[in-house]
Amino acid sequence: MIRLLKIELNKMLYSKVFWIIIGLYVLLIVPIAFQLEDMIGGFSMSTNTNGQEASQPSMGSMLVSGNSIYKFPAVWHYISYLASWFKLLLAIILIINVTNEYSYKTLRQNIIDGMSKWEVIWAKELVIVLLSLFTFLIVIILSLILGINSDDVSIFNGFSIVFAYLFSLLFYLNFAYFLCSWLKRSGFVIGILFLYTLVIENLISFKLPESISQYLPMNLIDSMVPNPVSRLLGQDVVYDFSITYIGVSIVYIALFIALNHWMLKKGHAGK
Amino acid sequence: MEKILSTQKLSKRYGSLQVLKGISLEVEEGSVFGLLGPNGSGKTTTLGILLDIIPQNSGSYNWFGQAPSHQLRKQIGSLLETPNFFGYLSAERNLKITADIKEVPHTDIDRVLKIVNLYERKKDKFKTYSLGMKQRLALAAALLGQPKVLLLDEPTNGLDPQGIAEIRELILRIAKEGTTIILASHMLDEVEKVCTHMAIIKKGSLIVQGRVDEILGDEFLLELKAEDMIKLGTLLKEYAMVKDIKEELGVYIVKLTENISNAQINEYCFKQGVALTHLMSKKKKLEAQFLEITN
Repeated sequence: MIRLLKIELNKMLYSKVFWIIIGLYVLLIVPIAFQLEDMIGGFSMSTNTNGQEASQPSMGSMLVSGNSIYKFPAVWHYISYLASWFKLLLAIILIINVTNEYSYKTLRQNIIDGMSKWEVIWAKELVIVLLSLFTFLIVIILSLILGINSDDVSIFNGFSIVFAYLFSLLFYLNFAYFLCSWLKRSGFVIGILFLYTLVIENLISFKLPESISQYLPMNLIDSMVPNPVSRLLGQDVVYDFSITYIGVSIVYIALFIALNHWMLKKGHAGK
Repeated sequence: MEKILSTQKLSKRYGSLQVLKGISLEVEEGSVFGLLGPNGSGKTTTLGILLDIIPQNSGSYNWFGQAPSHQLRKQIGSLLETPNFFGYLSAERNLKITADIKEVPHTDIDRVLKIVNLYERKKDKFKTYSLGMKQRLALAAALLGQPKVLLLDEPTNGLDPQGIAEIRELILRIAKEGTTIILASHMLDEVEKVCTHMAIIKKGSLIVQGRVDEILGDEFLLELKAEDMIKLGTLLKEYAMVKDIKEELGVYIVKLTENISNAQINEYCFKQGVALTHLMSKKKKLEAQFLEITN
């Protein structure tokens, strides 16, 4: 385990691309987290001034009336949801990392040098876990800082959504890893990931009953960390940590790992 | 002697193309084994199977008398086709990855870099290296941990004459220390200069396998010419030591079963009433022999 971690860290930490994307990620997520309340408020205000007749209190006015998003438990949810928006950047880090192994033919070389095919997969799973833990920590730190002015609510009230976020990310990155093993070229993988997220899954969802389509990968991720804006309207304030969704995502991850191994075994690395 | 490698009827098919047709090889400990064949004969496919990056359709193989596993691969130093490293990492860091995979201490890195003369440039990124340097780095990686066997696929490919000489000299030096070497090459000359044993494969089939000096044993050839070529022909056919006669451009090329002096054959012909106008013994050129074996 330590050996695989050392191998992967050598590959990752000395890559310029890795630091650029990580830097970009932090530079996007941190300022936006601090501006989030103003952004939501400003957005609602501007719809208000357009002269629309609001039949219910606007989001902006709810914020003004002291319903801040920077309070536990809501802040956990908002920051998790915000981080979820930028998950593509983390996927790009992973995609470049994995497809490099094909373009430099190092995957093949590593097997030749004595890595087993399972070790190849566990090494990349370590990268996925590291990236997920990294953003998990960022969400925790940001939420703790932003939620500091909360009233007497317990800090860990509503923390379960951050766990749901962690699982959704592990799942999302495993999905990206599977695409890499299958398609091997970074441009291809990123293109297909976009196409799948924006078009293909929506088309499939359309054809299927909702009881099934809710378990399609991107729908599942959306359900694990749902849009928190309903909180503003005072509805459904207690987020429901769904064991079913976590369970389904674990089944997916197992399936992706099995497929990755099957492709390696079939000699996908050799060509 | 212990068998380092043995393969039993390895076969590989890509679609309808049968690239390996049951290759069975034996490599003994301490030998320098040349796998010789023209481009596209199946050498690299064979090595790919032996290193578990290409699955065979049938047949099996053993390393060190044991069923193949990734643990055994750690004891094999391999250079397959092209040097495969991360372009954005330095030579040293690339070798750290290899060393961690092979579970070899990092202290061995400087030793192998010195062997291939890259120690001074170990901090430079791999992508800044010339082709020859890349090839030498790949050799350094293969040498990490002093493996029992080195598996080299066309190690001098793309190198200049000086680079080729250096690599060959290095291989011989390593072989002298007792390391078994398996060398795939399409150059007969290379195999002849470096190897003790060889196998020749062509279009996926094993043509011959054995000691280099047995397979490439010198053949005794004579070129003869006389005024009366017809009479000379019948005379030569009667001569006991003649194995084969060919006529080429007005000259008889005669294959003999053993080395006899030009004087002996001259005397024989003259006694039978044929005066030779041309007599020359020649050692068969290796290239011609290689072509003959593979054709």
